[in-house]
Amino acid sequence: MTERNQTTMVQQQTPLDSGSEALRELRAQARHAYERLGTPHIKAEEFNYVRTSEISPFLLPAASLATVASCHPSVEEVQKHILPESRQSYLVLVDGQYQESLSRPPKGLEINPVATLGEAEAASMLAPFLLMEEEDALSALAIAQCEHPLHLSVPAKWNSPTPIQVLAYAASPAPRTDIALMLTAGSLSESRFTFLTAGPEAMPESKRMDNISIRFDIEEGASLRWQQAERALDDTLHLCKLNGRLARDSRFSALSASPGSHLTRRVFTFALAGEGVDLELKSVTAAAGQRQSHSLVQINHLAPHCTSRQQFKNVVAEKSRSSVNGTIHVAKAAQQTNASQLINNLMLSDDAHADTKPRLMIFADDVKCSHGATVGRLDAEQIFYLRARGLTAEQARTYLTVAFIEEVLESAHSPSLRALLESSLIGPLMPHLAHAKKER
Amino acid sequence: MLEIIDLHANVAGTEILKGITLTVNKGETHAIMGPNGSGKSTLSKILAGHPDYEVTSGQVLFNGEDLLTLESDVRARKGLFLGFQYPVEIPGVNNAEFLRAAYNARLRDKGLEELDPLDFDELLDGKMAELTMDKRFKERAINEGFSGGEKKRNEILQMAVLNPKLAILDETDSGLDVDALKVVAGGINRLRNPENAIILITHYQRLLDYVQPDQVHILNRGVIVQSGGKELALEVEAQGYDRA
Repeated sequence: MTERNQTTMVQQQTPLDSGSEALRELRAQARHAYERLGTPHIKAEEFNYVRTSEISPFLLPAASLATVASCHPSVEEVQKHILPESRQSYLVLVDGQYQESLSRPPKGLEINPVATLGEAEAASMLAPFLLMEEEDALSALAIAQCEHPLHLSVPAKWNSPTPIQVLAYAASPAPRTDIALMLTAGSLSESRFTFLTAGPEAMPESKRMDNISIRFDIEEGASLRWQQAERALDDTLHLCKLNGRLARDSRFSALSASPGSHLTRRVFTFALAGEGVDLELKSVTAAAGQRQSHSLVQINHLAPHCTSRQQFKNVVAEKSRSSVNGTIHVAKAAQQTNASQLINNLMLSDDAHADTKPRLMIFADDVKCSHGATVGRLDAEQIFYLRARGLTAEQARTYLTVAFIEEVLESAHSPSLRALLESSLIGPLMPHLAHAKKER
Repeated sequence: MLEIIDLHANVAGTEILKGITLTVNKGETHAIMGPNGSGKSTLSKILAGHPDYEVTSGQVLFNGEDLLTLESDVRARKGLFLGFQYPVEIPGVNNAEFLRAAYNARLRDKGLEELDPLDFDELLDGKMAELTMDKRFKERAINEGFSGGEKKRNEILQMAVLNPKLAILDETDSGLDVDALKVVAGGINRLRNPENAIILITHYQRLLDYVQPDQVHILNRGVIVQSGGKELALEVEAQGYDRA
């Protein structure tokens, strides 16, 4: 372990001290975790490759950061960010707070702004989340400091006919927004969610940070498909953790798309806690300019007969950086585990940087685990083939770059989400694809 | 149409073409035959503009224009087509979409309106029917998982759709069974007209039974050692390249 500064949050009466006992307990746990884990430092394993010095200025308690009254987006502004397939089922969070008036939740989905819940309700809803140990300082910070955590509950056997969109809109020019979202997927339910971040086109001149913690409690036999994308912004730090506990026979699939930002760090932590769980994690990163996108993955196989599949596709151009630091941990009890991790990197320029650190830790003796990583450039023969048919060098490179991430994009919920992902990922690469040096 | 004048070229520092001179006129079909390593494929790659091949001297004129100064995609849009000996597999790029982009790139260059997906689909269906190709090939990635014969047929499909002025077919016949060869030859024959030209590069005489060339050239060790009519191909078949 490296040296870490011990951090103590300023203790003063704030809105964070209000609410039910369960909520206060949740925040206290997170606060203690943050203090235990310490300030993020690049030398710590979980922050390898991440310029933590960029994060440090944003780590003061939210209340002591300059706050400016935020201007709520109009209905029209919100509508611009709602995908066609979710027009009948979307939830809007403005600066982390659920906005009923801007939302159109599907019938049946229970929406619980945690700060307003009574003691009994809060205790019952938060119970599973109080059992989740927080091992990430930034996620702990989000939970400890989020004024308006939100809990969503998909009732047992409920089936969402269309993807439910959760739009996290950043309206406040405050330097940091903490978002804490908790989602319970009831047993045998089937649901699909699309999580997108958005904000006004004119952003404050100074840098800001979105710090998002999303916890999933997936009950027995439930199926949840979660797809998310962040905005491509040069002046934003985007930190997001998905943390899930998957019960027996449940299925969880996540697709996460990152065009990178000033500093993006995504954490994926999943515990396969019951037998027969199926987990799929797909990620695509396409970073240009000086953007960075880092991923930390921890898949914990705790029970027998579970399957996990991970696929990471990273494209880096110009001076951008990406990293995937991923561990699959198979506990002694998790016999007959089938786990795989594949990381493919496409380097579009000599100055770009991609790090991969796949790791298997296996304590059971009857398992099938694989991991692999590749690093490559666009194939010169493929480019020649396309150009020999009349496509320009730019078109050829674009086709091949899209083809590289296609395998992940094709799992998108809908053609509109797919198109959004493709444009947000490939768009920022276009100037580079147009003027790249020859491949040889 | 095409004039190659004393062309010398290197690959990785080794001289492969040692002074090739060849003229192909409109409406003509030429066959270039030769043993392995004679420089046949090098010639085709140079004409198409492959970046790994270095022309050290000589000139190539395509409809009077200096071909060697043009980028490979510009050559293609001006009507030059190379049928690859080993077509490249490109996973993730849809066959039909790619072909439409290639087709429209030519129209754009000519200042013509692009073809919309429906009209292009109709055009493509017609060409595929001529080549007895399964329509499912449209939905597949370029050459991915195609058999050798399917890849060659796909090359001929592309040629048929793009309707080039000059098609250079590099060993399009190799690895085909007789039935596939007939289909491919049918595709080549349909392209022949008084306005365009074809260069067939081949190792075997067999293709020339189905596509009758106007001239046959024997390439050996980087130079054309003999030129003649279609009977030359039969002579070579009977007596081998060593004679030439």
